[in-house]
Amino acid sequence: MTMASKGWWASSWGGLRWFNASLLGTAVIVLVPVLIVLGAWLLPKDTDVWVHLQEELLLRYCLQTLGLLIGVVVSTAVVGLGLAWIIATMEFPGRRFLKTGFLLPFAVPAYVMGFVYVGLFEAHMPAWLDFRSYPGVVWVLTVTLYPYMYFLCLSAFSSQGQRLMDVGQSMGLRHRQILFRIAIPFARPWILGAMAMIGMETLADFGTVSVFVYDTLATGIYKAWYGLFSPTTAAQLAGILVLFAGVFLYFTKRGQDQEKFQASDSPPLRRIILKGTTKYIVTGGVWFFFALAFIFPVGQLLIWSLEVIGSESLGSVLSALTNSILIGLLASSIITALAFCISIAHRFSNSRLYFTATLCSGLGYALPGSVLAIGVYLPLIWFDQKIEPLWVAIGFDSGNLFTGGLLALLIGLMIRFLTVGISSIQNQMARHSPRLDEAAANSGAGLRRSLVSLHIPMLRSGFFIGFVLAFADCLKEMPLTLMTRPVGWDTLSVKIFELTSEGEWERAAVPSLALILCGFAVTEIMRRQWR
Amino acid sequence: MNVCFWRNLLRSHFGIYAALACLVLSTVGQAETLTVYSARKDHLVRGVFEAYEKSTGGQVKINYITDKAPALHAKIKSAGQKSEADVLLTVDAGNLWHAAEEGLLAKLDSPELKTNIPSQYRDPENRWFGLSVRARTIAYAPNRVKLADLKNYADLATPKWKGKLCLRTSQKVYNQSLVAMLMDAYGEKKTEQMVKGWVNNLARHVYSNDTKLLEAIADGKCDVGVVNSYYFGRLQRKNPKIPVKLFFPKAEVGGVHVNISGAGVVATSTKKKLAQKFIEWLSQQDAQKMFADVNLEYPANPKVPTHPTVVQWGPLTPSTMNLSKAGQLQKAAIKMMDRARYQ
Repeated sequence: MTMASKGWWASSWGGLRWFNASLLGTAVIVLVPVLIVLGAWLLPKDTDVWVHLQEELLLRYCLQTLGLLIGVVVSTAVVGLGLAWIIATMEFPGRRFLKTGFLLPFAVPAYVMGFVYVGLFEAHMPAWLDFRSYPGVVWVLTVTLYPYMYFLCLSAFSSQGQRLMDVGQSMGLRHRQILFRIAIPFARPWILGAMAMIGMETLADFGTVSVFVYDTLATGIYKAWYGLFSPTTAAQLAGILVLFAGVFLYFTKRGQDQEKFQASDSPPLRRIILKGTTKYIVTGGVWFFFALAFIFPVGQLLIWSLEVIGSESLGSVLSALTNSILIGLLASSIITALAFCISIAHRFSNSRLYFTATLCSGLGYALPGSVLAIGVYLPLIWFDQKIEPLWVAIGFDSGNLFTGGLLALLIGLMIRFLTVGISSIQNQMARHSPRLDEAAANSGAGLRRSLVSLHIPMLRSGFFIGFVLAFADCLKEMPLTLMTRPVGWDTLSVKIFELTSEGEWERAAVPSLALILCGFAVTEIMRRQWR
Repeated sequence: MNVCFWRNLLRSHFGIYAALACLVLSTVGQAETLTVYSARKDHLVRGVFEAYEKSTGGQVKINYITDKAPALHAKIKSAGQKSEADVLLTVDAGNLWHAAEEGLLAKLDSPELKTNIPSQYRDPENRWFGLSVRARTIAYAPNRVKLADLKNYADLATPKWKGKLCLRTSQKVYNQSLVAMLMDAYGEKKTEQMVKGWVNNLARHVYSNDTKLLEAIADGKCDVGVVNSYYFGRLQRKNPKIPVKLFFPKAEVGGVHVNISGAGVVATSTKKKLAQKFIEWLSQQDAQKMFADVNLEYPANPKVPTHPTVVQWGPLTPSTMNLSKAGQLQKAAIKMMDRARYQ
């Protein structure tokens, strides 16, 4: 959507300024921790540590990070797109089940998938085959992150409907050619949106690469901070990571914004019924992938859980589960609400400022949880210290209003996963034709009416997808939760981390399964949505 | 936890209700609370904390959070005067040294702690005290390795172990402390050669934890490795027939590198007396036994008997260095391991 085509009529809508204000406010909240991190470059370098980094580590960190980013983005694109195409256009045994089944690995956090795979390989593969290598870590991240690509591509293919296929066929294109010449170009905003999310997840990953002892910028940050005791250097390295992410995000966003799409009321896709060898190859292939991505890992977790279930106290897992769900619901509600406001402001406000602000609001995804934690914590503790005299004046011990409770964690999660909500809602909104707004404006409808009667009803699935994806992400987030949660307040991800870091993988299987069960609920809800 | 959670929720959202809730809670509960930040895992401290609460007749209640040591340090530091932490309970001498260096710990004047904890295991300036001792020693596969071939850490760098050695990542503070201690004993140059030799001898990519390393030895993927003794204890508890044994280097060749878990009183605590009492209690006979046995470690208090399982592993001859060295040399050790390409 180009800037000039944005609604000239909207300038008269008074209500819009609330949305604009919320967009700018959110952008500021996101930018504060980013700026605190980037601001570290203004501080004098810890020379001694920097010399060491440059001589021994920096190049390797950057190359390995880039290698991982490229490997995961490319392989998730191939896997996710391929599966979405097969499910959308072909009929084969088990298709109905696999359509949602392929979303299930999304419920498994990458750090869980990582230790399960390493465990499986270590136990059952010959000694010369060491899974803890570049292909191994790419595989684990692919298997956990491809559902983003799959889900968004499937939505794209389904929404294009039969009309596209008909066009392709009338042009004399074969099935495969339709995929490359028509379906993929039309699905570009979805593909780029998925790539953005997958790329950010990859850059921020800490848990998985730790299991594999694969050094990236994220582990470098950790090492600079906690090993070389140079928070300044850590924040400076984090700055490089944010730069990586910013560049990546910029290109994927630009790609998306150049496109203009409208929903078609095309009839649903007619699927090809597979026959003969193709049927066996496709069916065998997709089921094999499903087994690798989901059945084997979850089976292994079940086996481990059964080994320890008698000796494990389920009470602590249960309370961690309650905490996880609660924080997930709270955070994803906030995210969805803000993402909606931001999308409205971005749609109707005719200024580069709002385009930039929207871009900034999504940046939190690029901050590794551990860095974001400090970026959020520092300003909040400052507030706490500022309002302390006020509490003293009224003779009351407040504890730490901002940092003692869930606020720091909520803000952190909001910053980190806002982009998930924004891209879900914006992708949906990109398909609302600008002509709708024009028509509404011509008939004299103001902002409120066009939102209530047009956009909000049409955005239902966007809200829903955004909420559910954000919920799942919040549930899985580990380092941020670890560092900003209130005293003694464990979530499932925290429990899993504590156990895996000591190699107690059998015991970590119980909370992991609980986390995956929550994920199942999420995919089940999605499945109903599709009906 | 539930009460705590609701309180937190209210506090973060509706300040005024929080005020009321806290007032009510503070008048109802007479017990004093002590907040412990623990880098020792929840299941290793819970029992001990409960025992302490009981021993005070319910007069003291312990509120605690567990996390990685550096995260706890960061949290205490960034909270400054407002930190709620009273006691920092952490693992690894290097971590304790850093906490003290950063000014997070208060000096304690406690004759009891001085008597109970040997000087080697406490800060020369009395800011932290070791509570349990673990050996970072050599594990080997008795069916493939002759006992006579094992000597000490330096020996693992010799070509006879080519393709047979497994190590945990150098990112782990336990290895950083080990190399720091070796640097202190052998000098920087010689230790660097040694670490390069280790890397040359690696059978497989380094491991992210000791447990998997021990399992790799049991599976025949490597013959020797360096691990903390209690990890072996845990595995042995699960599988008494595990084909792995521990070897403790003799005193003549440098002895065994030992490390500690320990505690100190947080400098900003408003309940220093209470916090000190708690640490003193931890150094006493019964607490020491519980604290060490739950994780199959050696009690720091020499008067307390070691768990029979641990005794069976063989006689421990610890190197006699003061453990604060591990912290002082940690940064240099990390840099050296990077130079030696020890990931």
